[in-house]
Amino acid sequence: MSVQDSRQQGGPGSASLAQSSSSALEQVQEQKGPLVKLIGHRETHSSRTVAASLVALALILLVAWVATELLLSTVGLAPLLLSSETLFRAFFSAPQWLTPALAGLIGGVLALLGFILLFLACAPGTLRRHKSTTGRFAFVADDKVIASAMSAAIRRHAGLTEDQVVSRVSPRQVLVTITPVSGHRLNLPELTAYAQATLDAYALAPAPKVRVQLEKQGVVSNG
Amino acid sequence: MAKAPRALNRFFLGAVGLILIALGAASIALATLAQIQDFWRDYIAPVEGKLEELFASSALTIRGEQTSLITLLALLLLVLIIGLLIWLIIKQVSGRTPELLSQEDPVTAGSTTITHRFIKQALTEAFEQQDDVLAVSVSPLYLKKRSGVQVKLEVRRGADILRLQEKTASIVQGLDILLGQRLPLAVRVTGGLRSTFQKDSFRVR
Repeated sequence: MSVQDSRQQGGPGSASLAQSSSSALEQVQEQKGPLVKLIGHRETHSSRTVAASLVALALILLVAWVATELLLSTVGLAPLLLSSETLFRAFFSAPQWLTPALAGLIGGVLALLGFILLFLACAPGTLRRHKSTTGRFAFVADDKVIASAMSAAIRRHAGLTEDQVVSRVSPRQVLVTITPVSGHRLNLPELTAYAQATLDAYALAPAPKVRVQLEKQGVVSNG
Repeated sequence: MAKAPRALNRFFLGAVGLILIALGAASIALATLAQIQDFWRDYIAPVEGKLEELFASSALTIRGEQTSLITLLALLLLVLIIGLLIWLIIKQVSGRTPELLSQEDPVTAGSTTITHRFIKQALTEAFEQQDDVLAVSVSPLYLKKRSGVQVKLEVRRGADILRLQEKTASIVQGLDILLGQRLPLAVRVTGGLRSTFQKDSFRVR
């Protein structure tokens, strides 16, 4: 079954929504669906929700501690760590106790954290997913799913077993590693062409290139 | 669907990052550069005295303890900051109630209201028919003041992506005709834990 022939026909108990149309995907690909670009971007890039939450939490603890110290000193109770008075005085007398070594340590750590956060803010944060350039709707698949789809397609095409094909999907490349059966020869260019055609049919963006490689050590035949 | 405030998150991270870098650089400069130390001694240190005067002038006595209005205002400010930070955390997980769509029905010339629940049911049934699909999860999507649908498909290993796309295309065609308008649709295909352990070797293709 070639890639071009794989069609979905509505079954006997088809829901009223599904219309049997062999070119539904082609038709729909012409259309420009609402919000598709935006959804596609959102689903393939990190929202930085974890980082932001952690930073917010850390700041909450810090500010809460300062507020507590302030409150304690106001009410006249003993401080938790450093009384607000101590903090107050320490800030203004900083040049006296801030040695280069100490400043190097504190400043270094602060700056490092700062750069990490700045990096997180600016870096695209691409997730391990690929979106598809289907016009009408946004279609995003985990790279893991794409990898197993590729492996399955190649297995079927070349008549291999599950253990023999492993696919690995990265943002711009799909690497398929085939472990051939000893003595059984495989047509690498043909497999690569087939794999690329399969991948292209998925219409992924950014369009990855396929590389098929053979594992050096052959698998002992299961037969 | 959780609608995390992406732009806000990145702005927040960037702002805190810049502040930390500034603090780090400033502390190193303060410890090593004489000009900075002089600047501190001449301009920052005297502020301490001025603040002390300020504290004294706005002194209050609460429960026998000396405090100042400034201190109370400072406390208020800190609580406000904590409130904002908590709001940021909560905003990560803001949910959306299902939106109602209303449309003109050309046949009866009336107004048909289609609930999200109906769409959810129809979509779930349609996708569940697919052999490759193990689980379907439909949730409302709300972006740029438009309400749409997000479908999350948990598929088995080796699921054919092209077939899923084809199926989605035919479903969405039907949906567009049914609703008379194009609803934003997002389809997410994930592996999920189930697909990790299931093998497709028993399927004859």
